[in-house]
Order: sequence, then structure tokens, then C-alpha cells
Amino acid sequence: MDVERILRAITTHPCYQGQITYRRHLPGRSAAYAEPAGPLPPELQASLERAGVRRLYTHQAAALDAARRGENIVVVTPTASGKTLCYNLPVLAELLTDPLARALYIFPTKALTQDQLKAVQRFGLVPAAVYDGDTPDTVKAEIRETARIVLTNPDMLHLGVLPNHLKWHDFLAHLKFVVIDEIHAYRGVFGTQVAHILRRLRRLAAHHGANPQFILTSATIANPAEHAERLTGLPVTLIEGSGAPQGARDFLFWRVPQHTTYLREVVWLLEVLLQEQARTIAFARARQVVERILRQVRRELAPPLAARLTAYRGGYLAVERREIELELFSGRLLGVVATNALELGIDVGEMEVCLIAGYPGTIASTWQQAGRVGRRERDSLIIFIAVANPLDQYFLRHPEAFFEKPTESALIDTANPYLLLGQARCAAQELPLTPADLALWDPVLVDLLTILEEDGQVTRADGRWFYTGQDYPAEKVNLRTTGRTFQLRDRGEKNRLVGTMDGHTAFSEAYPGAIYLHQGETYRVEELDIPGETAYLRRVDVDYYTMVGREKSTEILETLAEKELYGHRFAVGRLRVRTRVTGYIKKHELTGQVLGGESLSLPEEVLETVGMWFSPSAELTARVRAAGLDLMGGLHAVEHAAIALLPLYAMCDRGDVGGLSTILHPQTGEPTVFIHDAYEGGVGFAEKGYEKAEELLAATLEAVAACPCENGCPSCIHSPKCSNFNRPLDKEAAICLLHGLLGRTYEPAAPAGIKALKRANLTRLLGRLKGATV
Amino acid sequence: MSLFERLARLRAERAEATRTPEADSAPSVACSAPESFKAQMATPERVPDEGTFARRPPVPAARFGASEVQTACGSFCRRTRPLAAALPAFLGRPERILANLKLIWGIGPVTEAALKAQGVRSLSDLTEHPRWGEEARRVLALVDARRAAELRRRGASDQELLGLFQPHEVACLDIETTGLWGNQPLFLVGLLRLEGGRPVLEQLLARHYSEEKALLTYLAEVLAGVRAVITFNGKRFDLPYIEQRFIYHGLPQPKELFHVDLYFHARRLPQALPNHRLVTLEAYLLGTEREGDVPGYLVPTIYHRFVRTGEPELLLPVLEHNAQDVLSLARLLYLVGQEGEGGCGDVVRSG
Repeated sequence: MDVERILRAITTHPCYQGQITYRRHLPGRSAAYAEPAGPLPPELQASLERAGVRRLYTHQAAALDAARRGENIVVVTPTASGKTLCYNLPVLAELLTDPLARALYIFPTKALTQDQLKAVQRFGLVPAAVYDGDTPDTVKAEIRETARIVLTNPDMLHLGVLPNHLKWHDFLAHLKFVVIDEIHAYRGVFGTQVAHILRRLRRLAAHHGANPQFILTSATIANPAEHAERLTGLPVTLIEGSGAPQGARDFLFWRVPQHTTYLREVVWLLEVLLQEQARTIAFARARQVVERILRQVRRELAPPLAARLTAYRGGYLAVERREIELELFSGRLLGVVATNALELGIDVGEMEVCLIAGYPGTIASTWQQAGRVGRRERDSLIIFIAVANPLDQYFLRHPEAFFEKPTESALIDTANPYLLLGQARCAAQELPLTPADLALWDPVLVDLLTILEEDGQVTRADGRWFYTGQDYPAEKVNLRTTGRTFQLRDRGEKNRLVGTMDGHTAFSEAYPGAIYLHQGETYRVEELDIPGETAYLRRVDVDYYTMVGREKSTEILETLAEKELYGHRFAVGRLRVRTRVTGYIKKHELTGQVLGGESLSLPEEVLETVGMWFSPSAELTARVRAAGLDLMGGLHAVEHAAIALLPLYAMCDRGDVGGLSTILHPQTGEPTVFIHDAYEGGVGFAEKGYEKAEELLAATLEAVAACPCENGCPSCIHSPKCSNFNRPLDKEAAICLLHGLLGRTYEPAAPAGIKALKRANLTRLLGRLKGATV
Repeated sequence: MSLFERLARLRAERAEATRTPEADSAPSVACSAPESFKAQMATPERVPDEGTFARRPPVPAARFGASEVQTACGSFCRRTRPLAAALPAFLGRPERILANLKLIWGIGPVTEAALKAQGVRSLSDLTEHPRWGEEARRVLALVDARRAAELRRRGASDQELLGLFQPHEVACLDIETTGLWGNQPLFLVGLLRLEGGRPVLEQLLARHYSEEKALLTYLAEVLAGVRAVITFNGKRFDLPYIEQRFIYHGLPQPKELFHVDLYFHARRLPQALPNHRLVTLEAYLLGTEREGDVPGYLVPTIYHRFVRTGEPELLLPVLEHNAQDVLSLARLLYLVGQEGEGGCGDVVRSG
């Protein structure tokens, strides 16, 4: 692709007014090859040569050698670097040598599984089959008996394979390899569940007489080896340094001009790129945003071109997604607007331009998205469009920081008792737990088994724990979220299934009156049937979207640790957070102007989780008050900004944590700011925040103080998911509080009476008029 | 109480326990088996308390009116009961299968009717037939060799096939388990066989999860001695369950037996029935009502409680429930046999 031609088209466009603030050229590199230590079986060698592979890249040879030495390995390489050979070669070599040996491949998504089946089948050496939720019952027995490589996902392993391990005896008894692709996808709650599932798998394999070797792959993260070891519970050798060639890439940083929205920018950029026939992938952070971008591009572009752009996100039906993937691959579709649902290695072919509309939350994820373009020595372009979010603005101000910053760590918490409790029931049902099994899990398991025994779900006999329930416990464990799955059905079309949504999201996005977008179409939610786990929609044509408001309260159940920083109290502990949706507001699609609101009464959601909290000293709060600043507004602003910056330290998304600030908490007896994990039982994000409290607050202060806005804006202290619609907020109070919390002195600029108040109101009003941000 | 609170309480209790002097804990070490002691050493962090490890001696077999059976894998209980009321001979006549000319490839209902009109009564009448002779001799050889599976593939009905077996070669079988999926132990196998012309009910009972393996090795021996097994819904439940338990214990699978699942026959019965559960069939077809019967869904709970408490009284109703099931199987089998025989579909009430 001619990068300069595309750039010219952009910079000569009437909408261009110097948005590109930074450009970095990432040079390409040529291939590095190596010979493996030992020869491959001749039929495998022949099959490779037929596929045009004459030599192995350095990382492929290293992976093959280590796996053949019997080591568990994790291979870290960028997208499209021939990663699949790193596991297919050692596995096929072994399967060809030992005619009984079997292998299990695990992929995070069904789409990826189908993709990889084709890759294995291209070798044409051993029978392989996908065994997942889409596999017809009639062929399942045959797959168990004949497939030497079974490809599946964690959900099927958890729900279908492990609970039926006695039917899988032959397979498990000869299981030589477990391949786990894309392990960076297994973090947080989902990753923790997967870690437990892998322990269940290891235990059952041992029961049937096998001790499989693990081969894992990961995109670039800070702790691949550590993460692989935590996932599997085994020592793992790290293989890194790709030998694959890479095309040159130009990375641009894009500042959204005043008085416009990033959405407008993405829309016109897409128009230009499509007109230039550049194969483009645009990533946006939220499902709703993806739909809104598609809607506007389609509205403004002439039909033949408009039809060559589509949207792709989670919540679409599998057939819909499969079709989009195929059309992208074939080139019939020129562009796609996607959420990170498309981030995981699904092959959509060669893309040339990547738009990243909003920092995806982690450096690792950004590189994953950027890795979508510029494969195999083709030049390509990446444009990072900074949205009104503190982290985005931070990187816009410090672009070098983005390139220097190491990628984040993938975190899992195998000691989370909520998740382990469900998994312990599954494990006990599969095979009685023995004292020796306890070593596979966190020590808290013993207490959890005692609790299960008290509840009559397990009984201890002969030192072993037998499951005494009569249900299917795997069904009660939802891997990917801790809640339920809601169906979205269109009343206007005989209740056709439009998409799906997890329970927590349903409460905040599918309440009655909410506007739901799907492939650019707008639907209004008519009814949320909570026991029936269904939201009923009807297609409407409206030009607004909706945002929810909530009421929250926090109860401290147990304090786990406490510390004092410059005279202010910090703590981490277990919390009970109650949330109730109280209403929503309507915002204009283009301007973001608030058009009105409705109140709602939905049942309360209760979340027991881990959180950190801090209370500024009485002296500091007195100082804020004395300066005539709004203490509540300051606390609230500190909470928002700190939550936005927490992803700098923990591999989480802003949506993975929640917060609450109060002028007087009944238990602490002081003004308190809470930041908590948004998952039942907690997953370690807030704990990281407690550990790194000082750094977090320092970064927060920098972000807030450096923001040029006068009275707070979406780039610093506004939160897109604030349950109080960002009221009250006081930026000056926040700056004063943050200085105090860090033991620094600061003279707050006191508001100068009525005049200042009026000015503040005016800016807030202006902010509201332009501030269409999510 | 939340999970966190319960965990905190357990931690507090443990802290409390370690503070108290450990004077009386010493003797209990002696009763723990060396194996479980080793297992405890494997998890140094938190050792489950000893008390529950020491196993209660098994309830004497006599408490169930049963006898102790010793096997290489340990012991279990076996209860046998000759049945007072002689059951009707429950298998069909052996010569019945010979009348089915359709067992010959190429003979359909039309040809069969034509042949019968010519006076052909049995396969033996066809051995010299110019067209069907060779095939007829082949089928007769299968009948002589009692190759039930192959004859079934040729279209022989269960009723015809059962006639191939001697009464003592057939067992009615019903199991009681602790779950619906083969991961959880089974604990009771009821068998009904004819011994010396008299029906004998035999029940194999594991008094503890750990006796299951011994029970299964004995069951394998019993099954090695029979050639056909009769169940109710055994195709979907009992037989796969038993198979999975053999896999679980790493025992060799018993040889495949000729299997008649009466559930499928019950579904084909012409009578209007509200459902096809065994109890319903008993009430409607056999005219028997169970009194004080244990509902099936309670069986696992009762058994788990028995394992915990060791009260034999808990299990007696379960043993009775299982005995009823097996008996009904035998009587249902008789009905099903009649069904094909008479061809009129009348209900035979045996009172």
C-alpha cells in the first residue's frame, strides 16, 4: 500500500486541520531462520514443503526443540508470525510417531477454532475435529473415538468434556499434548475460570493415566511465562523473539479538534479510506459506538461504497459473524468497524489501515489491534484517535510514553473463593477430591469444601470428598461473566432472536426505554423480563441514544489490610455493593445534547467483591472546605480520574472496576472514596490499586492537573459510566485533595464569588453541549 | 451469611482450635490409616482434621438380611431372596422365531404371506427350497448358534429372540445410583434370575462408596454367567452407567450381552397411558400399587445420609424399592412377550 498517497488524501481533506500530532515510523524486519535440532518425520516434512515452508523461523525451531525435550512451553510472538506451526509441528511429529497419542487444542472463541481446524487439516496427516457447542450430537461419539486432535474452547471443555470424562477415557488416557492458544485472552475472571478448568483437566488426565505436556501461545504481555505457569500450575519455558518478517508501519496519533467529536473524525476518516480503496479495520471500545459509527458512515457515503463497510462485535449471532469474516477475507467487504471481539487472531486477511478509536485499555491490546495490519513486509498505517479520556489524553501528550511503556501483566486470581467454590463442585462431581488433589489448588479449597459439606453438597468419606448433589454443577458456572445471559428478541418480527447480552449489561443497557443498536439499526427495549432472561425490543427510528443512572451503596464486610500515607487512611477489603438502576437520560446521537430522561424501578443488584478505599485526613478536608471548594465534588472527581488511570497498573478495563465516593461513610465515619472490582468475589484489580496507591494517585494528579479544561471535562474527571451523570464534580477540589493525599502542599485557587460560579455553570453547560462521549 | 463471612468464621475457628492445648489429639494418630496419613503429608498447608478420616466399621451385612461377600477388591453385601409366588415363565417359546420367514434376506411380508399360504410354517420347511434354501439354512445356523445380535439385524423381534435363551441365562437388572451422570458411584444392583426353575432376587449393595469396586467385580462375574439382560430404560441409563463405573475403576468391561430394554416396548403398547414410567405401567398394566415407596429422586440423598450415619433402617426402603422395580421388570417382560404372541393386544391382568 502507498502510505504517502493515503496520507495525502487525509491531509488534503477539508476536515483536516492538523489533527496528526505525532508520527512514528516502525521499520519492518526481514525473516530469520533456524534449523531444528532433530529432523521431522518425513511425511510431516513433505507436507510442510507442499505448503511452501522450506525453512523454519527461529522461534518455530526453538519451540519445536523445547517441546521435543518434553518441556511445557509458551510462545510469545506477534500476530501472523507463523505461530500455529509452533504447536502443530511438535504435536504432529509426536502423533505420527505414537499412533495412539492424542492432542487437545483449546481456543478462546469458536471462530478461531474453525480457523485452526482448517490449518490442521491442511497437513492432511491425522484426523482432527472440532468439538464444541455447534457439534451435532450424532457425530460426538465418533469424534471421541477417532479424532487424534480435538479442537475445542474452554466453555465446552468445562461443560461437555470434563463432566463426561468417563466417555473420554480413550482420549484422556492417551492425551500427550494440550495446546492453549492466545492465553492473553485468559485473564481476569475468565482467565481464573480457565486456570481451574485446566487443573480439573490435569487431574482427570492423571486418573485415566496420562500426564500431558502443555504448549501455549500468547500475544505480547509483560508476564507470559508467569501467566502460563499460573494458568497451568506447571513450570513453563518461555520462547520469544519472532523470526517472521514484518512490514514497515507508520503509527499516527490523532487529536480530535475542539467543537467536534471523535466519532465525527472516525466517520470522515473511514469515508476517505474507503474512497481510496484502502482495506481498513476500525476498532472502537463499545458495542454501541461501533453501531453508531456504522450508522453515520452509511448515512453519508454513496450506497455502493457504504455497503462495503460492516460492523462486527460480540452479541451478534454466530452465523452473522461467520459471514462477515468470510466476506472480509474474500475482499468483498472493504472495511469493518469492530470491538475487540475481532482482536483475537481471527484471520480476516490482509488489512492496510487500522484505526484505533480510543485507547483499548491496555498497551497489549493496542499492539494486538495494530498487529492486524502490515503482515509480511507490506507497508501499512495505524491511526490512534485519542478520545476524551484521561489515558488517551495522557498518551496524546506523551506519545513516546506509549512506545516505551512495557505491556501490562495478565492477572488471574486462583484464590478467589467465589470462583473456586463453583469449580470445586464441578471437580468433586467429576471425581471425588482427595487430599493429594488439594495441592493443585489454593489452600482456601479446604475451607470451601467444609462449607460445601455444611451445605450438604459434598460428603467426606475415607478422606475423600464425594459430590452428593444431583445436579450438573458445570451448568451453574458461567465462565465468561459471573452472571446470566439475556436474549434480545424483536417483538416486531415474531420475537426473532437479535442478539445476546450478559446479565449485568442487560441491567445497564436493556432496561425498558433503552435504545439498543444492532448492525446500525435502532431498537427500543419495551420490556425486560428478568426471570425469563429476555429483553423484548421493537425497531424504531430515533436519533438519540440512552445512558443509565444508578444509585449505589457500599458496605465494608472485612478489612484485609490498612496503611497510612501522609496521614490519610488507605485500606483494602471485602465489600458489599448494592446498585439500583434509577433512570436514564436520552442524548442526541450527533451532538450529545441531553434531550430528557425517565425514571425506572428495577430490582437491586448485589455484588460482593474486593475494593480499596481511602479517607483524606480531617485536616485536608477542612482545608478544601475552607477554600470554598466542593468536597463531595472533589472526592467524586478523584474517584473518576483514579479509576480511569488504574489500567496503567492492573490489566483491567475501566469497566472492570467501579467506584463510589461519599462525604460520610457510616462505617469509616469519614469522607471516603471506594474503588472496587466489578466482579463477584473480586479479581485483584482494586488490590493492585491499594498496593500501588501512591503511584496511582500521582498519575491521577498529573492527568487532572495537566488537562487544559477549566472545570473538568471528559478527558479528566468525567466518567462515561457515572451513575450520577457526572454530578457533582469539582476539579479544583480534586487537585487540592490529590496534592494533600500525596503529602504535597498546594494553594487552591478559591472561587471568586458569584462571578466564578456563573462562569463555572457556563462552562459546564458548554461542556454538556459538546461533550458527546462514551 | 456471605461466603466471605463464612470463610472468616472458619479461619477464626481454626485459630481458636490451634490455641487450645493439644493434649487429646495424640491418640487419634494411631487410628488413621497409613495411606491417608501420607495423603495428609502431601498437603502441608492445612491438614483436614483426623476424626472424619477414620472410617466407621461397615454395618454388618446381617442388618440387611444379607451376607458379606469378599472379593480381591474388598467386601460388599449380597442379599438373596427366593420368591414365593412363582412368576409366569417369562420367556417366549423357542420355536417362535422359526416362524418368522422374513429373517431371510429377500423375503418381505408379501412373499411370507404367499409362502405361508402354500403351507410353509417354519424356516425348517424352506431348507430345500430352490430359491430360499441356502439363506434358510444360514438363518437356522444362526438360530442354533443363538447369534441374537445378527438375527436382530435381520429384523427378529425381541420376543422372538428371547425364546433363544434358557430361563437361567436371562437376568432382569436395575441399579440405584448417587447421581444421574456416571461420575458418581452406584451402590445397589438388583438382579432377578431363575435358579433351578425358581425366581431368585439378588441384590448387591455397597455400604460405602469404597465398596463399589468390589460390587462391580462380583457383578462382572454374574454377568459373565448370563447371556441376556432385561432392563427398563437400560439403554439410556443403567448399562452406560455401569460401563462408566467399570471405566472409572479401571476394570475390564464385561462382554456385550443381548439386551432388551422394556421401556421401548412399553412405549409401543397400544393402551392409553399417561406416561411410560415404570410405576405407571405397574398401576395400569399389572394392577399393582406400591405402598410407602421411596420416590426415586430421594434415593441418592438417603444413601448419602446412610453413608454418613450408618443407620441400616435408612436403606431398607431403598432395597425394597429396588426389589419392586426388578420384580415389575419380570412381570412386564411376561406382558410384552404375550403382546407379540397373541397379537390382539389384550391386557393381561395378573392381579
